[in-house]
Amino acid sequence: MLAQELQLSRAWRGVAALLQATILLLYQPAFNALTSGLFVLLLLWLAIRLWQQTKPLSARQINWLLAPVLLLLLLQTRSLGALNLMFHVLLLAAIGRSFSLQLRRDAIQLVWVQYFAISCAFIFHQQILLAGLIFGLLGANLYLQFQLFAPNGQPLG
Amino acid sequence: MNWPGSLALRRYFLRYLDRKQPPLPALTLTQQRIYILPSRLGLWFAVLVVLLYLLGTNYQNNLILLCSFMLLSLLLLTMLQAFYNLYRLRLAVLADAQTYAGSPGALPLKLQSRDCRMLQLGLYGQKLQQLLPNLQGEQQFNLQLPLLPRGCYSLPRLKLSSQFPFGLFNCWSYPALSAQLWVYPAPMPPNDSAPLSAADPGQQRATAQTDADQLKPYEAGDLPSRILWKKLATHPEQPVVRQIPLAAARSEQWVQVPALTGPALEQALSMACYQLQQLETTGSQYGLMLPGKTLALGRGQRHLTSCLQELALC
Repeated sequence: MLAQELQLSRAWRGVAALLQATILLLYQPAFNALTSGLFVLLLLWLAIRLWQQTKPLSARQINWLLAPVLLLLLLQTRSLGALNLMFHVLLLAAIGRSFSLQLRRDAIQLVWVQYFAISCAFIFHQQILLAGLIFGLLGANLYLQFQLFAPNGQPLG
Repeated sequence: MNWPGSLALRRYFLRYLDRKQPPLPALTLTQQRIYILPSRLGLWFAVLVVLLYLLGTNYQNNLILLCSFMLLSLLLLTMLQAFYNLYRLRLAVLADAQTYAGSPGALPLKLQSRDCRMLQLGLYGQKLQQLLPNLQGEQQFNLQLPLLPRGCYSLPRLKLSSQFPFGLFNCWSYPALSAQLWVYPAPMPPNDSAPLSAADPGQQRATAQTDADQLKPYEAGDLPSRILWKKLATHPEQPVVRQIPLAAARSEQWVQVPALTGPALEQALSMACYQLQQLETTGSQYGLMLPGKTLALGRGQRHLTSCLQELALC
């Protein structure tokens, strides 16, 4: 579809990065200090790149960036556990994809992964306020999905 | 679709469409004309719903189950929204498409819808597609056509599609509109060795150059193409028109295309096309002589179009 060939706005990428930062906060019960620090650094770098409007990274560059992180995570499999490792990999995939966003079609997989990642946060948090926050994140992700298929600057509804 | 038999299936489908939905000058998209299927993202979304359901039941987590049901309801709701995005979209052809060989043409369409977003239009089976982000009310739209050789073609089926609002469903239609695509020969100035004859074209050009700047006040019945629009902008109370040179107006010019074949015929047709346009610009009366057919003397845009159409069919 031609709509998928349109450029992705900087605001869209910014909201997606903010969403990932919130997911990282919600995933804290599954993360240790080392992995949390690593993800914070990755998100900070993503934010700086967004701020400076630099060119998106190529798939090869992202592979080189994420391979050592993934290796580090695999080395910690025993201490993290399979479920927590899945959360790490999920968030890592989302952040990695965010580095390469340029066109709308690049973001379709990201939206899908974010849906799953946000829903999984219910495993850790079921308090009413946090549940409200997670549903809010789902709504934000739905808005991002809508923006991928709507005319530029189209409000929801 | 590249699997064996896909071509035969597509032909069968087109025959079925031709039988059920013959070409019309104007039509409205209704249930019979709109097709809807989940897109790739829609299928992955369904997988996500199932995954979340399994996760919710395994962890006995009602909130995840709620998430799964909410996303399922969104999937179903989107199906309706995608359908209503195209539903009752009205299409009409405003005029036949006219272009010259080697130049891309455009078909003027009139689109009407209450509220249609991200509509993708193109000819069936063609890669050239256009995007119309917003359609509210009535709007004229020029559908770009691919490059075609000289001739007259029936408009193939269109393909209208949209994935609005969430990309979960692909909604499309193959409306057939009755219109002709006229591709005239590309105009080419005649050269010395031209296999074409016209009544003293050299004198005609000279007359056109000397008399072209003669102006006169506008009178009722003067051709709009002869109005000097720039002068009209500065002096709107005094419209001025280019005077038709008397010599040209009185002269009778015949453009003749000899009986040729292959590239020589194409060259002769291109030069005849150029000459016809020049004669129309100078306001002469002109006729067209083709092998086996003669178009009587005449003048005006309609006569020029008739002559060009004969050249296209030659």
